[in-house]
Amino acid sequence: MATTVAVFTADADVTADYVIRELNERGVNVFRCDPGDFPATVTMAARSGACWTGRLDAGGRCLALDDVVCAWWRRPNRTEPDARSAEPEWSAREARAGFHGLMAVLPWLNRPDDIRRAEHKPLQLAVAAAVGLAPPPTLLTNDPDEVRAFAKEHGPLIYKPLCSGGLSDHRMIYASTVAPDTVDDGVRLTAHLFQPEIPKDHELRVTLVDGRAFAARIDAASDDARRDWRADYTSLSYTAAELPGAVLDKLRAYAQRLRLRFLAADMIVTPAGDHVFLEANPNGQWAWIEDATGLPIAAAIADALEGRTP
Amino acid sequence: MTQTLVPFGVRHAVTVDPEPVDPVTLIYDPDQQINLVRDGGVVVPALKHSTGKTSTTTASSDAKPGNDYDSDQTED
Repeated sequence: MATTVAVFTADADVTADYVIRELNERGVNVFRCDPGDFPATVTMAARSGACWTGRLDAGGRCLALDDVVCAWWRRPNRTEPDARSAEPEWSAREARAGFHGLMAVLPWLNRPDDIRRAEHKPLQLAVAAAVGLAPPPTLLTNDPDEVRAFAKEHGPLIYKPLCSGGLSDHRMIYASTVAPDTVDDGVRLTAHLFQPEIPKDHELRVTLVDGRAFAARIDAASDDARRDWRADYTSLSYTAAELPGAVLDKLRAYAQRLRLRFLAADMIVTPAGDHVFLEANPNGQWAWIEDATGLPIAAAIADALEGRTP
Repeated sequence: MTQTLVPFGVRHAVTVDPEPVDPVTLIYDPDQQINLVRDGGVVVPALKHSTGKTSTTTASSDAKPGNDYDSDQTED
């Protein structure tokens, strides 16, 4: 019987620490490794057969591949080209293909390939609509005329980036109100996502772990945070909340369709009490929610990694 | 010379003041496989180390370099 939980993440990922500490207290074997350290300080050797067998050596520890009860892909560093190699780029590509390919045979709390797929916002919105989670009407375009027509149809719009809002100079792009007279050919330069402004009573961050929901209500006290709570953390307050059963069922259906055992979903609750799905990060953060609310998310992730059914 | 144009979305960028996780202050404990920090004369787990905004690498895929300022910016 497999006994070891494998955690793939950067050394400085303190969020992973929450779960590893929980596993340590439970006496569970843990193997922590940063894939970005392969091949420099991580050694891999495996042989094919009915299943792959072999080992990873990292940090003075050895992981037997057939002893992995579950693996967790957190926030690893990227395997960078090794200047010692005569072909550093090729070596890095081969390293990634070999390491990731072998890791694909492991049992996972969210397979890395499923994480990548579930990060696509258009797919998130389509799946949310299919399971009845009621995402906002959304326009994805590089055509300013389409933006103007969408605004005529839906009223005031917000713009939000599709993936990271971070720029190279450390500026950030949050969800922003769109002034109609500013829509111009700047839209043509890349893909832009627009949605109608949804009236908010408050927002929810729902962390789902193997079907168990940990909902945190987020109340914002500033205009910036009311528009996008990420824009002003200092004005936020958090409380544990309950998700209506019908909404939870739909969120579970969403996770099932995208083969996710873990996700962190953001929702608006309107003044009328409707729940509007915004997005679901398949590898989202949660530790600050646990700190603020006491919701036992780390323990739930540890349960999932151990294969415990609550 | 080609003129550089500003995408519509970038016009909404704001300057932020992230509170970075300083890796220098983290002490990785290979026995527990967690990070520690020195707090006064005592070494304690680094959990709950910040007030919110951090700039740790959060890319969920190592196919993408750099920092991901996703909704999880406040990670820890």
